[in-house]
Amino acid sequence: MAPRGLLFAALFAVALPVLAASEAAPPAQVTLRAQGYGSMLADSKGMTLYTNSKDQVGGKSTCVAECAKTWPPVLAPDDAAAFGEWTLVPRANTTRQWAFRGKPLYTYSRDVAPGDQNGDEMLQQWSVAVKYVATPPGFSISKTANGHLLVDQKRMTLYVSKADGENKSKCMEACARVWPPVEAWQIAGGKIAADWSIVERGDGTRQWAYKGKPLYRYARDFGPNETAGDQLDGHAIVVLQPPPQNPPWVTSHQSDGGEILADAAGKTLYALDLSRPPAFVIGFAKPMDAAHNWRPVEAAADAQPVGFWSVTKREDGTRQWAYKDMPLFTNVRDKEPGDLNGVRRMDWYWRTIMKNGQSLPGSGL
Amino acid sequence: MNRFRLALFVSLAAACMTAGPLSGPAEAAAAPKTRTLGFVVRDWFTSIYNSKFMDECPEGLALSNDEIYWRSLSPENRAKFTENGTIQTLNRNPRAMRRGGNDENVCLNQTLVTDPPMRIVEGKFAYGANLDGTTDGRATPKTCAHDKFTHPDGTPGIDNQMYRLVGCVYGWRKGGLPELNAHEGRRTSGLGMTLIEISGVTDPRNSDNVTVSFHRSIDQFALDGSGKPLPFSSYKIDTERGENRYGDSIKGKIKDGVLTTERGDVRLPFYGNYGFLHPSIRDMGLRLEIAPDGASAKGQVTGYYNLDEFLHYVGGMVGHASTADDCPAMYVAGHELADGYPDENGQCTHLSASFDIGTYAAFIIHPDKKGR
Repeated sequence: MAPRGLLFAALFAVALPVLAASEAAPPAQVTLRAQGYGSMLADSKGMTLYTNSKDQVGGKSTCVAECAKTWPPVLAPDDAAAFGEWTLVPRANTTRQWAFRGKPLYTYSRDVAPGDQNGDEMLQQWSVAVKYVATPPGFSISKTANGHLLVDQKRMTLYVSKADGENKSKCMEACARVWPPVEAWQIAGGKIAADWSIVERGDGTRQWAYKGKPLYRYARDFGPNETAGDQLDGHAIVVLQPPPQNPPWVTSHQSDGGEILADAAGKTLYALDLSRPPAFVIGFAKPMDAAHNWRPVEAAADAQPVGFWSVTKREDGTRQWAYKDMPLFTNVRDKEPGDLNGVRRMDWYWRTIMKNGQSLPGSGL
Repeated sequence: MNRFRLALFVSLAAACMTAGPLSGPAEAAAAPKTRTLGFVVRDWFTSIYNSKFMDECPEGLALSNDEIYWRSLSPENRAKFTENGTIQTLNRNPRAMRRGGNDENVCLNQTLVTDPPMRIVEGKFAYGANLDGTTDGRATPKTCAHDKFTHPDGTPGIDNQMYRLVGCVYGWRKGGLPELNAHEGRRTSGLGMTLIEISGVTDPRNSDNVTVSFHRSIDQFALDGSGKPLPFSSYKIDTERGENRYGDSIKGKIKDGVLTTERGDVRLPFYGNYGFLHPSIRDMGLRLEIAPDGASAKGQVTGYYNLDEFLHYVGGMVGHASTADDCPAMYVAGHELADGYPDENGQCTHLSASFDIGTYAAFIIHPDKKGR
């Protein structure tokens, strides 16, 4: 090891997290549905669980009264006791709610079947509750348009190289300037998290590897979740869970708010979300814009549901595509791919569908 | 010819051939090196002339949605719809706008009701430029007849029907909510970021022939500790599959640090009040005073703003209660005041307009075909 590496190792020796021989099972009211990134939390019937960004870690639930009718809390029996990562949050009437890592858990009233995720990214507050696979300090998992990716703590995308062998990096000198290796200068103490290893490089430094593949950043990724290096020079992003599948007619286009989903002609797709509470104190629980400004996205007679996409029957007997149980429309004012003329904060029942599954930034929706 | 003379002849011929053609009276001068200046737009405000005592609005400010709604209610309904007066203007605003026959929002559907005519600017002064080339605002092939303004600096013949339309609306007057809200929304979100790229610059203070291009940035402002953009930060142009999503350009020149451009049709990105547009400004011209240190520039954009896009934006934005506007009346007034680009029926479709802009110096990055 180079002298500098020895000095760093001496000063900042860190024992890496050691996994317990076996992890405690969740409470009886919760199940873990295996995913590439770890587990998605569900209740005992398989209905997806959610967390709310407005709930503070370790604090009380902010979802009460009317909110709790739309987002029922996952209640614990009277004799339940907190353990490990599972804690109990007091609610009204002496009931208690399960929380995972300090975040209270809920189901969503509009999920109708196990695996439905209709509440994900709702109102920019609600997210599917997940338990990611263990990663060493300095690493994380990010949900993006390309699926769940392995990233560093600053959410910079990580890459692997086809040219590398098992726990062996071939990227040195000039290559390493374009693809900086993810250095592992800490002394590894105890067991490293499963699937992780440390590679001794030919230049004397040490590099992290995931499933035997050394990890790199890309020098021309400038911000979080950028993937400019994907498929470049034999490098690829590390996808732990691919994104949900879309029907073949769905396209994606760049808009001024990010990459959005559109129909085959490039017209932006809008989901009509009538589950939203009225926008104001005395708002109206229905869209404000005239119906003639919106065209339903028709489904062919033989159209089949896929992923989050389903087919609904309209009152006039025609079939219409829906996304997460929300009927889909295009807006008559949209002419070019990427147009967002249907985004009107005043009429917040219309949601665009971002390729990364998140809400359109800046729309307040 | 003897051998010596032959050798001399061959040598001379070879020398001429390698020397190339004989030069003319003067060698062609090497083309001057050029560079590119870049700016990111931070401020974008409608140029509004506010006199000290609001003389430009002799009948007062324009009526708002709320006032029209309130006037239409019986005392009984006033009590009923406001829970006996406990619901204030801001919170009763959604009902104030739902005056369409089927509870439709009259800001999203501006032709559903007919409201009292909008109070518009009646003053003689406005910022802007002479866009139609006339002194009296008569109709031309590209414009409709309209009244002209005088610039506060005394320049006659100013076209600014946008100001005439919004200048008496409470929220559109200087310091009003919609533009401040849009301004801050852009600063904090990084959406609607416009880049101005000036290429072909031989001297940053004086260049006769430059090209000014307009792009959208996918990067947010790099801010200093006080929240101001840092000059000379880098911004990447928004592309899709290798193609610039914006990129319209016009020719210009820089004289003594002031850029002025010819006029051309430019499509710009825009984000404000939770709405996304890409307004088309026809015959757009830019005047930009570049600071001596090159770190910033400010100036005006003038041109014809698409009326339909403007009304769509206003109709959908939040803050109508604070803006105190009335969308149906603005729709009618906007069509009456439009002075640019008549359609096949002779109805003008654009409003002459002026905007004050402020920018910071920027390095503009053109991504490769893969967006890198």
